[in-house]
Amino acid sequence: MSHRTIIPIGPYHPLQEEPELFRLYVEGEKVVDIDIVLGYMHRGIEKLSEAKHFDQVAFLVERICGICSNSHPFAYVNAMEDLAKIEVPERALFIRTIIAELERLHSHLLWLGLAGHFIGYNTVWMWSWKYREPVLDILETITGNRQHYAMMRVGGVRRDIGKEDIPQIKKMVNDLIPVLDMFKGAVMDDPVIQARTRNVGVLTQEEAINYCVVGPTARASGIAIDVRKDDPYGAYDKIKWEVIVQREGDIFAKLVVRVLEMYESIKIINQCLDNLPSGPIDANIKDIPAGEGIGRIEAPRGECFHYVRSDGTNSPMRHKIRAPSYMNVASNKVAAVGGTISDAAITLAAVDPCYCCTERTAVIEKKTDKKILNGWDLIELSRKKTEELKKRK
Amino acid sequence: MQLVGSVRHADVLLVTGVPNRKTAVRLKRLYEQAAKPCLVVAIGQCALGGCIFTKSYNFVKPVDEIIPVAAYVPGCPPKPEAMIMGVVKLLNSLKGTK
Amino acid sequence: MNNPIIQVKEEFAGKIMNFEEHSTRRIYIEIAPQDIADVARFLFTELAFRFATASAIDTPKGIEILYHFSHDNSGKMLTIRTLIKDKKDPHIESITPIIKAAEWIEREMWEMLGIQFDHHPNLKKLLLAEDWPEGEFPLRHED
Repeated sequence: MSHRTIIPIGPYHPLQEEPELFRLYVEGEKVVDIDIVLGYMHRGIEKLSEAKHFDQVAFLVERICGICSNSHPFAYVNAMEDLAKIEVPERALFIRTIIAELERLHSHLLWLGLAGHFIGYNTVWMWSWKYREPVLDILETITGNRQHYAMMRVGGVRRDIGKEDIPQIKKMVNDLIPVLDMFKGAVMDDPVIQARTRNVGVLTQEEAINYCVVGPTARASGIAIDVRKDDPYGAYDKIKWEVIVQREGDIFAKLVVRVLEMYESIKIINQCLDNLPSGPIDANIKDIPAGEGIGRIEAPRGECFHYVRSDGTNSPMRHKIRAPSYMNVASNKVAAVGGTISDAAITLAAVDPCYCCTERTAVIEKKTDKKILNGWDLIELSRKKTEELKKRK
Repeated sequence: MQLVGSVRHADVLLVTGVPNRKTAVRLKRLYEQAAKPCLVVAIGQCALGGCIFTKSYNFVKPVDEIIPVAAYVPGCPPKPEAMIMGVVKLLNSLKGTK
Repeated sequence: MNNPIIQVKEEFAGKIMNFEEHSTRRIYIEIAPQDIADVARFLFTELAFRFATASAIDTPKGIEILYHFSHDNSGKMLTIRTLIKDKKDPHIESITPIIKAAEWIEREMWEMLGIQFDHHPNLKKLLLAEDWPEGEFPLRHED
């Protein structure tokens, strides 16, 4: 079997000059203000949804994001099932949970690699992306695709998990445990990584509450919220697992939350596979009444929220979509300000937005209003700081 | 394949995603800044122009109506093998081999 | 565990125009637009609800805004519904001075539907391009 090295050639954006996503205003070494400019990926999906049939909407929202392409359809079908008070068959709930946790695994491994890349630990980058491949392979085996699984449907799932696939899935997730143990030792215990991430990019609990952040960003600041426990869906209230919380709110805390969550994901997947109920995978819904529904799920980045209103026709009258990063990225206004330029890249990346966000950064000297650095420069500065710290240890 | 920090050092520009009102102008500007020859590879259904976002109020034009595209890799998303094959086919066609 | 909802009902007894419990974890309360700041303040600062997001909808009766609040301890989603009847020049008090997290979504509702959020600290475009035509609101339904 040839071992493929996957080159990260997407989702890169062909933008490097202005206008930037993050404009960091600096005085000397310090970041004094930050302006966040959005809209580069705005495709008008909420409006497009109004022109699609309910069963087509799942395919549309899948393509909001390539990393958590399962989260949006999951939240959407939950909203529809809330609207129409649909009871989803048990087997489908378990299958949904397995797919969602596999997605959490590959998403956190992706982030781990990027974080390593930003602070100059390219081995961490290569390792985590290498160990991410088997997760994507399993998703491809079950669903037919590495991203955009087309698994969610209103009332159930589209494909079953075959009995013959279960040993393979279990082996793959259990093989990840020693890998995570290795990461824990190599990454979390490394003194230079600790020096780069402890007390850096701190989001206090108070600010985390003010910005209503979600997901690992919230849990790293001591806020014990997780939609899987608070407003259970899928099979999460039928199995045993823990919500991971840290207190310090710094980048190290965010790293610890994500690594420890991966162990919980493996626990969840194993229990779901061991207890997979038999029965149908779809409730065969034919009609959607008029009404409104809210669906939310715990995506890898936090609460993914969908609201759908139906007027009794075949299409949504209104579809509101709120991804977790919408809340989390805004908190960079306080997390990155007060820090240094060399910490900016990793601080912005710590809330786990998609890669293209941190790519398109510009640093502006506040007094002169002149742009002095871009996103690549920030990553370089970040790596230089790590080198300096390594020399001192 | 090596990723470079500035488009001025790039031989190949990989374009993914659909150009919207904010990005279309920048895409054109970016291409103009690239040292020629710079080959553009459109990756994924969105970059190819035939995707689910074409009816959006924010959609502008397909990539190949903004800048010249040398190779197209279809898929949503294209498998990694497809992307690599697309680039390899492009390089071979330049060398004159199949 | 109905406590937070009961507390809201008691606090705004005379002001709740409609109360609907769609399910144990999905509750909808309708109020008049002028009461939004008081309700938001009570939910966020007194009862520690988390502001999840807001949805604005263009309906024949007016512009409807839904403010979605989550009570994470009980898992309940409380949606505050309000209707702005004036579609030509819809105004409502901004809740951003009370909840920082509302800044972006109010900007988005403004650019998508043309709702003026009074006393918003930074009401400018969030997603649309700088050269987007003035007065064109993508989420308004053409009559």
